Amino acid sequence: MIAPANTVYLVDDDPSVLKALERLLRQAGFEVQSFASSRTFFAQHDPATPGCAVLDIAIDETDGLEIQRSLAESGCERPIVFLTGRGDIPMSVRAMRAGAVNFLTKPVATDELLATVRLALEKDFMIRRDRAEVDSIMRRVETLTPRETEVLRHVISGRLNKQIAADLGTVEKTIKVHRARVMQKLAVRSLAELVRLAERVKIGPRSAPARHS
Amino acid sequence: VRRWFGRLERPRVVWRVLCWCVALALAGSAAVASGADAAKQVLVVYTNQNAVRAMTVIDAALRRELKSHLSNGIDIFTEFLDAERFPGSEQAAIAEEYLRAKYAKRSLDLVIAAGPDALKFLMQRRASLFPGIPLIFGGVAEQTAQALSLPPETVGVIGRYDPEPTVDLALRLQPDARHLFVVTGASKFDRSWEEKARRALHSYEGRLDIRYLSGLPMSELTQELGNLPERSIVLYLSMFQDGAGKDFVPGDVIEQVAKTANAPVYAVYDLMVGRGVVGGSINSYESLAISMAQLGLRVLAGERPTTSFLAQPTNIVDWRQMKRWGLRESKLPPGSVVQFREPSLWEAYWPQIVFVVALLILQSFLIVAMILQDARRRRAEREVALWRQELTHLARVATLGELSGAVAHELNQPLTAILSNAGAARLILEQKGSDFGELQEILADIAADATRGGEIIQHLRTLFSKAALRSQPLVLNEVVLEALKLVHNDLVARRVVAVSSLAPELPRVRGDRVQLQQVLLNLIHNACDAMVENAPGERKLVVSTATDENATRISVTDHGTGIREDRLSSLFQPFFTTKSRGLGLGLSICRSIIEAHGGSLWAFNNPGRGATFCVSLPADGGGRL
Repeated sequence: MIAPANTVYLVDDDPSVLKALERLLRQAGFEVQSFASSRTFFAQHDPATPGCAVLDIAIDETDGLEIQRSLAESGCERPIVFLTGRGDIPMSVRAMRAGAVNFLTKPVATDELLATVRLALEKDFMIRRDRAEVDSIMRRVETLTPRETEVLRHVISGRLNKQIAADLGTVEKTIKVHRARVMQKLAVRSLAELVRLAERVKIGPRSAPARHS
Repeated sequence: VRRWFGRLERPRVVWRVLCWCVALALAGSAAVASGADAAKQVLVVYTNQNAVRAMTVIDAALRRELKSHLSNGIDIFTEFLDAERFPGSEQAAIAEEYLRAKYAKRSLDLVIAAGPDALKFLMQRRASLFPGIPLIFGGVAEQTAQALSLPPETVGVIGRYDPEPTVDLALRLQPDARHLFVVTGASKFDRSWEEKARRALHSYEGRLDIRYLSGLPMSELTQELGNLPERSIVLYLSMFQDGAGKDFVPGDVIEQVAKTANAPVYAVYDLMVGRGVVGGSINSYESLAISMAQLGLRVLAGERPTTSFLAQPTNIVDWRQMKRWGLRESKLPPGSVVQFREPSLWEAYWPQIVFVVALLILQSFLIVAMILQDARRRRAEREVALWRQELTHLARVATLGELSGAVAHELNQPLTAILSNAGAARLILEQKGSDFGELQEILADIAADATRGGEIIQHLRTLFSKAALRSQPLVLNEVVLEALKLVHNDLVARRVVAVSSLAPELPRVRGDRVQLQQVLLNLIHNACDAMVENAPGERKLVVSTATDENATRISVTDHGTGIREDRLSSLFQPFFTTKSRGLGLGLSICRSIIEAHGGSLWAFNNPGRGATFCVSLPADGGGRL
């Protein structure tokens, strides 16, 4: 496994808790950035830096759940671990539904915390890797001409070249050329691969053909 | 038709009855008229003028007695010879003529002579003036009666006027008396009294030094009487005239004598008692008159008694004079009459006294009842105080219960720090070449957090404890900050922003830290409840302290819904609640806590939004603590 980017954003308004957690995470080998309030966190947070966030759920006027929402709204998919002194079930449900990695109750066992942080970092890594992959696909998709994109959509819909040619009002041969060029541009060798790739970047099949099928 | 007759017959009956009534009334009045014809006619001739009180007393008693026994009525005529002032046979002749002329047309049934001169006068002229009319007499001394050699059919009440019984009485009352002063005047009657006294009192010479103050001018007499030696007795007999030839009424003289004499004065005549004399052995005019009347009634009834009877003197004393001279009632001979006894307090005011005593007894009962009630009330109050303490504690526990989440979190913080630090330390120790500096720091932090946890528990324990009210000097700001710290997590969880605005130089107040915090927790809790419906950004709570010379104040201001005006007054009553959950005891307990501190707790709506609860505590820490 590739070593995950290991920055942990730590937010807790209790100085001694903040200090102890930071110390533990550092000793466990993580890069730690600690904040005493949501405000200072937002001021210094860089969504681009890989890593996860460990948030006290009741920090100050902006609580942990709001930080989670704000991050989500800004498109940042940083995994979040919640710490709470008095987590109630509805709150934890909300947190988990909103994508939290875990919802830990204070006082939290060291191993559990470290394991959860690792999990979160791994998740972050995955997300970032995933996103990087999608980005590279997108870049390749963007090289396609509109005609090629149209052909691609027909192809992943499972239509034959002949049918596509009929739909687009051209000859089968031309479709074949387009298809080969799409395969080449997107660096795929099989139809299956092409379908999977299109799925990753949310290029859907052609919507119309249903009536011919 | 018959009906008509019936109607006509009824007035006839009425008419008949009316006639009978008139006849009866006429017969009655006729009977009354014939009775008036039978009324007895009695003439009373008095020796003296009618201004001499003896005469008036006798007259009144005589009339009363006669009239009360004669049912058919009686006509009483009175004549006053005034013989003392108008002596001599010439005057007597004038009186005779007058009486003859006056009573010529009267048919008298009885003539009564009152006093010696009247008796003498009538005895001499009886045959010509009132022939055949029975005569009786009274108020005549034994010697006088004898001297007159009365016929046997002339009877009366004979009086004895001796000085000895009076001197005996005086000696009984004043056993240590050494001097006796006998006062008489210059008139003939007075002189006769002096002679009588000299004879009668001869036997007392050995025991008493007797001096006769006879026939002195009034001024000289008063002079003498004012300078009497100690242990003296004054015996006043009679004074119709003094040495200077001035006429007196003896009864008037006695007052002056009694007033000027510096020794007790005794007298022998009735009516002098009450005018300054101690008393004497006296034939009372009242009893004399009654005896005369009884004798007169017998004569009027047709009886002809043949023997006179002797009036018995009585010892009569004036209670007031006894008191004045310090003479003791116990020394009086038996059968003595004590007059003018001022009624004792009891006699005079017994209804009032009974009333007052009853009132006092009632009051005492009331007081006892009230004391008992008070004791019961005190006991009840003690019980109530105990219950209130219990309730206060329960309320506090309940408040803390509501804060339990926050409290747990409060405790979780240091525990989390400790666990994390311990974990970090373990990781350090797992590495080669451990960083001891870091380890030391970690251990110090762990210790600090453990201490912090301990403090939280300690604080909780005091809040949970059931200790009685404990007064100590407090810095109110600290109390406020501690309370805010305790609820901090709760406030955060409820998205309430608490702002404290504390006056810098607060005087210390005396009070119970735990209970004051309980009040604050309660008020803060209520404030938060009031802001539940606010948008999260508008849940602002201000806790402020302030002071003036009299009191120190803590205010808890919220921006919530406020209090409905009609609820402001009942807010602090037990079991008043606006919450769906809750007993409604919180504020009533808060108020009782603050009142036990000698302070007050009240609430008002803010001009803008929400309400403020104010706790005022006396600056000097006064109150009942």
